[in-house]
Amino acid sequence: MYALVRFIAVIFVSLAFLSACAKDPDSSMTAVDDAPESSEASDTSGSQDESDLIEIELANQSGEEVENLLAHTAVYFGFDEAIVTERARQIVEAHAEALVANPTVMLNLAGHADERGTHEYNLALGEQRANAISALFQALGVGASRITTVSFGEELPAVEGSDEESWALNRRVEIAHDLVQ
Amino acid sequence: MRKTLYCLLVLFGLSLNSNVALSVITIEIEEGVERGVPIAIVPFGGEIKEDLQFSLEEVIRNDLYRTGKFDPIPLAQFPSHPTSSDSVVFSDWQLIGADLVLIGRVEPDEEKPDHYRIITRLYDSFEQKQVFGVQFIISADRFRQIAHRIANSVFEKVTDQESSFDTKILYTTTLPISSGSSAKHLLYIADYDGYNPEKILSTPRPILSPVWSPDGTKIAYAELFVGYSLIYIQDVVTSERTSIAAPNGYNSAPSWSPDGERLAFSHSNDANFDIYIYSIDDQRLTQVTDHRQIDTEPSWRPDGKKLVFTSNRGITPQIYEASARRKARAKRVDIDGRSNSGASYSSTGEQLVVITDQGIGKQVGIYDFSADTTRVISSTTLDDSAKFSPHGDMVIHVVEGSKRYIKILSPDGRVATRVPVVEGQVKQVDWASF
Repeated sequence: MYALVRFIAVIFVSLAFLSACAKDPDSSMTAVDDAPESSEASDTSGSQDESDLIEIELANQSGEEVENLLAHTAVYFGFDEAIVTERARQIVEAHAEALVANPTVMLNLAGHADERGTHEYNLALGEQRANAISALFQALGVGASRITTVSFGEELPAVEGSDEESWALNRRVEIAHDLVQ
Repeated sequence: MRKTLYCLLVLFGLSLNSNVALSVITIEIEEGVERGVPIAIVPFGGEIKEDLQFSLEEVIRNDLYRTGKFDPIPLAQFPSHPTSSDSVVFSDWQLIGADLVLIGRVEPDEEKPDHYRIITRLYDSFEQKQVFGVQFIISADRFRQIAHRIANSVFEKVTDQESSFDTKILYTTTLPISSGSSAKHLLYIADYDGYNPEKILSTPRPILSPVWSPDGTKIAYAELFVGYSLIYIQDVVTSERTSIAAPNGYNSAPSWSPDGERLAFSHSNDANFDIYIYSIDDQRLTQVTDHRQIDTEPSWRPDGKKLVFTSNRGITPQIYEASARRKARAKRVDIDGRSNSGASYSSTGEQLVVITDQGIGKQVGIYDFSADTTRVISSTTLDDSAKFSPHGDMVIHVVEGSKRYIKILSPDGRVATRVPVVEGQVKQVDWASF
């Protein structure tokens, strides 16, 4: 229950945040730092009307903001986890919006793990991560028939290296479709 | 309190050939309170014409040392280098604390060309008597094997158990991207100490979970394609291979039943991994687990009745045990730690070796069923792919990280030694069960 409330709150905060950016396209950095405005928005997030309003604003926001999030073709995970982070959710939302607007484009999600732990568990974890992202895309309106998921476990690291930084970059799902390079 | 001492032993193979063979062995010693049996392994006398690049005593010394049950005395402390029984002075050996003294010599055999007679004797210096004496007539290409057999005789006399010195391992390596070759993933068979390596597979796709069949004639492994994986059974001698008739999707983590007739494995068709059993003769499939979370890495109990596997059904990966039958109920094995994975049984079924996370990283642990205790035995924190030796006298595993390597641990964790790998970065290892 708490998780659901938190999930909804996150959605609203991020939508409110995006709408704030959209209102002020020339200074997105200012909007990022403008925390009070975001928290105000989350306080009023219980209102159904407010959420409808925000969705409309999202659809009309400047292309520049969408571009920014679409530039991220990987989302990252915590150690030994397949839980979608808030940051990953924002990126997936941007991709989902683009995919909903282009209904013939197919989506491929490739799950990966860092080198820690066993190869076999990591193969399964990569799949679980890809499936978690796939489920979010489906919830955001991208049909399951358009999505393929694959897992590479720990076999194809994005970066070589055995430190926290490298591991963080290797625990990922790569988002691939024709709308991004 | 644990300290790691790096000790570089430079051993000169003076005894076996006129060309001085030099070999360097790096041995990591985990300091501990318990000590092994002090043994003096005297350089073998005699000369052979072949250039072996190793000495018999060096192989024997390393075998015994790796188990943690013996502490070979450094050569520099030896009072003499006897090669026959009449030159062993027991009081001299008692002075340096050598409970046991092993001597030997090599002579050309009078009858068989290119064969040698290896005569070796073990003495108890305090009892002042011979423990055993044995001789082999053998060609030089089998000297390593004979050295392992001599070490096994010593091990058996002292511990009353069989050793795993004359057994084989199986390991996978990956060549660097810059190597230019398309076959970047390799599968090797070697003696347990890494010698006599033989490449049995090279492929452009990752190889996962190589495992020996119980009789040692076949191996099974998974090959990872884009979006699916296949389990292959390969004949060790002919290298012929066939993929098992499993459903589409990911098929991985094969484990042979003790009778060699079935493979437990994990399968996922796009949703999540569950445990299945594949009957090799009639290709029949049995689904053992059906859970929405990950179930993988099955491993058979030596009696063939149960399996352990890794599952994250309790959020973090942990080890569960279930009967090897359809829709079996799984029960958590109560191993300490934030997470546990990659478990397999000891040959008696009384213990599990497991990759355990006790808060400082992935380490090798041993769980004892009757005592319900978990003991961490490695000092490294990026451990993977841990297996007991077939007779439980050692544990082998891979250390991941920027420089990957295979390590053998004594079951008490006191002694750690590296196993040399031919080429590439090592990924996974298995120890033959025969």
